Amino acid sequence: MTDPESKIRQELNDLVTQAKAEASAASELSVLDDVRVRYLGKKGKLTLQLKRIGSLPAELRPSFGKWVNLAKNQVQEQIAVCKDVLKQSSLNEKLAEESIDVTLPGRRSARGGLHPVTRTLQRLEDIFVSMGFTVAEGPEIEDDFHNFEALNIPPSHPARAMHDTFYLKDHYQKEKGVLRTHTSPVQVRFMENHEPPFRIIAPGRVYRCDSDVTHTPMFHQIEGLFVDKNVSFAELKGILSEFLKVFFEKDLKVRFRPSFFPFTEPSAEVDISCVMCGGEGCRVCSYTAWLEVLGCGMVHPAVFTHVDIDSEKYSGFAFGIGVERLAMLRYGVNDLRLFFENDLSFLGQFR
Amino acid sequence: MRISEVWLREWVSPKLSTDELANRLTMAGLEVGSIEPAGDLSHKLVVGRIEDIIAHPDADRLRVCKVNVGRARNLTIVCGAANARQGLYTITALLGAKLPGGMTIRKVSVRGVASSGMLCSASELGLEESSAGIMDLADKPTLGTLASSLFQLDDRILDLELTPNRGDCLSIRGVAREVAALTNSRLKKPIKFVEMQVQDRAKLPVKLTASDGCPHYVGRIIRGVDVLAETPLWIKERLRRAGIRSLGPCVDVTNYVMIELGQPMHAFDLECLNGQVEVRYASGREKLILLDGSTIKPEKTDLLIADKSGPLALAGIMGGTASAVSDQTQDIFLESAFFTPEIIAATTRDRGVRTDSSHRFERGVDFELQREAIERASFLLTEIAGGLCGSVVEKTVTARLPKKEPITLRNKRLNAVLGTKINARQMVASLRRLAMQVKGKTDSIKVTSPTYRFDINIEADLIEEVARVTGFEKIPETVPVARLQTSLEEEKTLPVSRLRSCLVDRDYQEVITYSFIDRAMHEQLSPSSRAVELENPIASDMSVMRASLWPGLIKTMQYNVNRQMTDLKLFESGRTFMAKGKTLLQHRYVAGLLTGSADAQSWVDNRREVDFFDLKGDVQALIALTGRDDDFIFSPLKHPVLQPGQSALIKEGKKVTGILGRLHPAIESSLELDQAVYLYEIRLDSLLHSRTPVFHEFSRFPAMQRDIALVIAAKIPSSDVIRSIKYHAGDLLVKLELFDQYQGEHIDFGKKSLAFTLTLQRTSRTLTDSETENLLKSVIRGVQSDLDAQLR
Repeated sequence: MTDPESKIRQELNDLVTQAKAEASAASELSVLDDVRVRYLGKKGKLTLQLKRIGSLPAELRPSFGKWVNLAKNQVQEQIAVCKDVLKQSSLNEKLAEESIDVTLPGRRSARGGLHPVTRTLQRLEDIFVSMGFTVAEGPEIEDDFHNFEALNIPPSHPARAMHDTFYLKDHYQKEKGVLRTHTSPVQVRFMENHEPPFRIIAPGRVYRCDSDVTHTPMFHQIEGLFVDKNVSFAELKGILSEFLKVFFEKDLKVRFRPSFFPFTEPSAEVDISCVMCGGEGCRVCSYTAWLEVLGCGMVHPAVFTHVDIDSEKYSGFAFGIGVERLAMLRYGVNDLRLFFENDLSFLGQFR
Repeated sequence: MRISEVWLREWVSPKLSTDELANRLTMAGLEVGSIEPAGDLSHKLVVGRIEDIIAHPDADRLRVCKVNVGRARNLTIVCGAANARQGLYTITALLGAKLPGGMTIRKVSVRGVASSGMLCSASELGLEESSAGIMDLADKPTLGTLASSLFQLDDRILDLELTPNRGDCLSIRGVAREVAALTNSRLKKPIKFVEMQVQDRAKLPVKLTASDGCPHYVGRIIRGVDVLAETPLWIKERLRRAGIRSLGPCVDVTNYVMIELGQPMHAFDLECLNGQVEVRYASGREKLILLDGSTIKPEKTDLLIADKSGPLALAGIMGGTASAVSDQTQDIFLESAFFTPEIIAATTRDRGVRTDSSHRFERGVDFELQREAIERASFLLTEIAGGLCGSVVEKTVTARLPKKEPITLRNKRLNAVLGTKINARQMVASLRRLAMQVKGKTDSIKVTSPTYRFDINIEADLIEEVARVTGFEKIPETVPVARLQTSLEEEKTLPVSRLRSCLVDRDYQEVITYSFIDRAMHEQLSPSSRAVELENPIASDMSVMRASLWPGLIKTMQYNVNRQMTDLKLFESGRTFMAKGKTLLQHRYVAGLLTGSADAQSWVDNRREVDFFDLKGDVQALIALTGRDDDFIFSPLKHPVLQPGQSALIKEGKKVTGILGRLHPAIESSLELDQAVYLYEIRLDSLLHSRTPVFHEFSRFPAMQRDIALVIAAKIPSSDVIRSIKYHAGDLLVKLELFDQYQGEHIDFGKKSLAFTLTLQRTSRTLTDSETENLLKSVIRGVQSDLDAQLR
């Protein structure tokens, strides 16, 4: 075939084929770019073809431009395809290079945590605050009046002996201070300065001069006080039963039995069905199926008298909760003394 | 109070099992702490009599007994007891018998003689702590009788944990009265009240000088008592079950009556009494040797029993050795009195002497019981040890006896307090069961409590009694209806829990340490605070109230470092105690301790030790919670406990709110701490009020950033430079960051270079370059004149 059109087209085709082959063979973007320059650049082989136009027969000239452009487009497309492939593979290479062991530990420190007593106290506070109680505080070194006298515990009362009180050596403000033996003095201080009705809780440290397997000379209590018109023992039972079920997140059996506290009358001790054995009997409940968890009662009229509240007009109830006791039952701690050893192996378990 | 069930049931016997009875008592406020069997004797322990006794052919100390246990053939038993004799009745352990100590009796050969059993002592049967020989059953029980039935061991001991208000239940009769009331059963009368015939005219005058302390005193002489007589087994057994040792007939009988009726009594050796018995207060110049061997010097508030020569006994608490009954005693003087509870309580507390007697008197003993008790004791003692009774001398000062006034009880009030619907009839019935006298209309009655109840003084006490008899479990549970009240704190109040969370999130472990610490540690770590000392510390290293939270933190650090935990971030919040003249400050603080590595061991970064700026960063994080960062000023501090040049004071205005720094290396080494310790302590109160945000206009135009480096004298604190820059830059400065501090090459000795980034911005428009440059120039000029700073 010797007609000039076929010849020209064949030449262009050859160039396209050659360029495509070279593009496909390029293993790097820079090589591919060389190919582009060689064929499509200003002095590229295909670009230079247009210069031949003057030497062509006149009837071929109009078509020739189209053919060249077509050829350039074909090469361009091929280069674009090759470029995508090369980009993809270089990205893959980069990703492979940057790949890491994602199972290695992240940057972090050992986490901190709250002391289990604080954790328990906060939970107790949250529960009572949700019932409309507010939090009150008082001093830990108390005077005899607030710790005993105003709570209807006169000096010779046998209940004083049960308190194992720590005394200060020196007198301050003309008085021999005592380390408060319970959080009940906060009730007195609050009532001295507020008019009923009120609902308060008073969390904090208390001290008793006693130390053995089941006693530490310092521990924590939460005192509760609810004073209003017509507050009844039935309501005390209602609130405390509800609280215990919420705290232990269990439908516990709760029982109230008569007891004695000088500052409440009637007084009760509250037992729950053992949370460890569920009533089967175990070491924790001494095989009785019951656990003593708190003391409570109706505020004694003598206490109201000490703080100038008319006990005919108002009545109220009070309760005292041992925080360590509840923490032990809630988290299964088997030794009270652990709370104050502050061994990180222990504390770290309550995060 | 240990109560024998068998004994109790002699007085009252409701149709309840032991467990049911115990439960009823517990639910009525007489908590049964435990129920134990009275004894656990094998059925192979029986009564036997030694028919024949010969020496062991091959052992000096042993003898071979033929023992009749009521069977066809006598048993041959080898015995080593010195008191074994022909005709002796004793308890014989048959082959296979198990003794309480765990030993099982088997046929053995004792030096060639086959022994098929054992003759037992009381201690081997678990009836005594120690015994001199085998049991001597003087009342000759039927041969072959089981030991367990002889000693009535099919009995259980109820251990009652009585509250201090129930002194009336410190006796078998007292508990029986309570059981009768609770179960609505009849109280039986197992003992008769007999007045002893007066056989002797001897009388000892009694004088009640301190009638406020002793308004009722009953005494009697008994002559010719055989103090060496053996107390019968049944009394010994009952005492044993009550937890009391047998000590001869006089003491056993007074103890028995105390357990039975609740009246503590005392027996004096008549020969040792001079002229009269007087109840009076101590002169304050006397001495008395008590039965336990201790010598006391009674004070003027202590009540004594005395004769003309001086004190005999600490009244109602303990007798004296000089007048005690001894083996030589022939005649005794028995005392049965009522002592006022408050007086006895004060003496037990002040002298620290506690006995079964004082335990009862300080809780209240029935003041009408004394005569009945002395007759009962006289009867028992003369039965056991013979003797002739003198007449009873009784002195009473009625005006000083406790008053039993009627108390008003309103049915409406009762139901209001309890939240119940108990009608007047039920209310009255409950009180009558408790032997209360009731008078008056049904809705408002007058109630008089029995003479043995010292805990019924006001209406509330009666309400509790009705509730107890009704049963607390019968009181409904209701949810209170109260007026809604917000309990929210002010917005500006920062809860302590927020501070704790902040520290926990910054990797701190919270600790709770004792508020009392070692004195030496106090002196070392709070040298400027006078120690607030405990009068009665529980241990010498817990004798001083902490004036700082640091000792507790350091002790916790030592404890954990010794257990290979060396990287620590600890904090505690709580009160400290400081004496300021005559006042006592109890402020709340939060304190932290940092030591060891700043970050956890990691494969990715290098570890570094904590330093001052870790510490300060944490403190600043706490302060940042208040939103009032600029209110807290840090300045260099000289403090005896902290390393100079690495400690700072925090002030809020003029008030000191905290300190921080590195523990002084001298203290570190004296406390044997091998690693640097960083500490802070901040007043909690100053951290607990935060700033309530107030909106201010902010700029939407681009900000300009310029860096400057200033060279100043090394001793000038950076905070001075910052203050100066802020002052001179004015409102356009929206942010100032210190990004470099440099000393060394190219900087003159004694100087340092500080580099800052200033971010400048105007709210109304973009700052021009020239404005920015001018401002910068004036800042530099300002700092130059303030602090002699040079642009680097």
